[in-house]
Amino acid sequence: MHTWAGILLGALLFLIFFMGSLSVFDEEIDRWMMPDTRGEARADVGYDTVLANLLPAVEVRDEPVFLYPPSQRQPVYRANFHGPGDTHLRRFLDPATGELLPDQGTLGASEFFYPMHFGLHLDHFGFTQIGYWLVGIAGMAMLALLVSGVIIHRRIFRDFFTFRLERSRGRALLDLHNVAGVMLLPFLLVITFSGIVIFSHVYMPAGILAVYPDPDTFFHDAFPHPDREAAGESAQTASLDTMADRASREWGGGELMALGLFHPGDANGYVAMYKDTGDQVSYRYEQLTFDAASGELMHHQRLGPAMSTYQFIMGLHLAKFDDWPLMWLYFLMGLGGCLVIATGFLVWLDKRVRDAGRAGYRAAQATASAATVGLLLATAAMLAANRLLPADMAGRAAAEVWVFFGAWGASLLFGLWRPGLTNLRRQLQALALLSLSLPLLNAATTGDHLAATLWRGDWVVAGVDLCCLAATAMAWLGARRLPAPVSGPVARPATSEA
Amino acid sequence: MSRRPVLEAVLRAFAALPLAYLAAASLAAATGVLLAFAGVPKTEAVGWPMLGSYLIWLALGLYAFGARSVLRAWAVPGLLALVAVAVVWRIDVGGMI
Repeated sequence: MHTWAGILLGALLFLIFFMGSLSVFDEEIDRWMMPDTRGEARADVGYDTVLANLLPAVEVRDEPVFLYPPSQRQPVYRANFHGPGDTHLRRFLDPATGELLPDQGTLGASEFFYPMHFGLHLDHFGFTQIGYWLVGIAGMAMLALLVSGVIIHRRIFRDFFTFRLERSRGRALLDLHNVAGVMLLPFLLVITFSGIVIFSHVYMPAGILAVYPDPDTFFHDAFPHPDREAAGESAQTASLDTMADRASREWGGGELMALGLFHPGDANGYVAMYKDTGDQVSYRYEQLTFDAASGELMHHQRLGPAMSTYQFIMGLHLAKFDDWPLMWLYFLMGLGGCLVIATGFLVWLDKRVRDAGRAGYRAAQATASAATVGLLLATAAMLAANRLLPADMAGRAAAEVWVFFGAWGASLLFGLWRPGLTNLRRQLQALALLSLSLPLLNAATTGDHLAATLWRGDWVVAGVDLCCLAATAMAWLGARRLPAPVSGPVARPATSEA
Repeated sequence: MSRRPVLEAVLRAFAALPLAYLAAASLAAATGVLLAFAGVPKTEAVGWPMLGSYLIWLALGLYAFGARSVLRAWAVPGLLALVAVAVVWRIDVGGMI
């Protein structure tokens, strides 16, 4: 079960883990991909000016407008809203002037890598639920893989201290798979379980359906908040800044993560304020609801024990902490999960190297390399496209996505054309070159070269550049350390346990 | 490879995935219904079984692969699902059935 579940779902699991790892720093990658939103917020005109500039300039349908204040990770205002045709739109505003910034022409990490992590972007084809379910099944398989991995390794304590690099390639790979798996076991269990629990209403709706005649009522019960329809009469919106100050006092000094304006300009409009959760594990945002016209506090959300537990588990997964070391730990352990999956692939392939000439083996090998190194290549290609495509190009965001999937597909085709370690070496070399080009492209197109960003202490942009250089070094080292190519069927002694 | 082990693997995988899922989901529903019937607030009655149901699914899924026979791998989640559905049927709080 451990072997076959890993092989069948390993590619999907690698994608989920890698995109999840990138999502830890999605806002930092956003800054890198959207140069206009970089820098430091030196002044803040406030929500009222921002809203006054936003509403006349964009076409907002009768849907909530969400405003996110400037922060260290995102030094500009962000507005999310629904546009014509139920499109999800996002615009940024300069906090010093309140003016709208030009459309950034990219989905960025927060709207491409992050949604791919939990929905695989199948919502674009009308299969939102299928995307969630595929990720959920992969998550359950991951839990089963972790538990079964512990069961089949009776000498788990000894495995923790065993890494025989000098032995055969298969033995060293298996040791690496075991050591990484055992070291990361607590993290992998927590992150996988919490990831599944977040979508409980999708995966386990039976309880809701059995107890609530109208399932939507459950969400109003579980996360109580005033919810009212638009009156159809226009009304002036009271000061959002005053409401934000009141919210901060109500939370006992907590900062605002976001606010949502429902039915803007309507007499029944209301404003939801969400508390920043960066100083705690739980994603408990304590929603406050204000009457938009009068500015009076209408409701303070308090959750029951079950939903508080749900938000704690959610917080464990989302990692929205104001703590850099903890976020780096999440990022590195997420990449460690990728390493466990990738070495699992390699162990499986190495044990079956006698079948190297068969079409099935070659297909598995090409799929494994495309799912791992190919995915990294596609990500680097997308970032390169982000810096190379003209800023005013029509459909720029879609073009970046095409580059991502094009590079990924090319990786698979190359793996089918040039099997074995030659394929892996070439793809690692391409990854090293592409990753190296990213800081150079960033410097050439924005002037933000690494020395400049480091000098002014802009660790957000410098951090992405440094990660690209680290990826270059690792890919180059990986390509160099690969053993000589194996071509055709090879007779070699079988390695022991898997 | 003979066909018998492949068939057994497929049958056990079916018991571990859809059958164990149905058992876990219907147990969560039955527990929710019973708790709601006993006067526990509805969000708690639904919330706790929903959070715990994955562990039941995981346990039943692993059991399906480890059970001595395919019959047992099918029977345990199957019977649990049947009992749970019967409970939901008898105490139809939400009017689902």
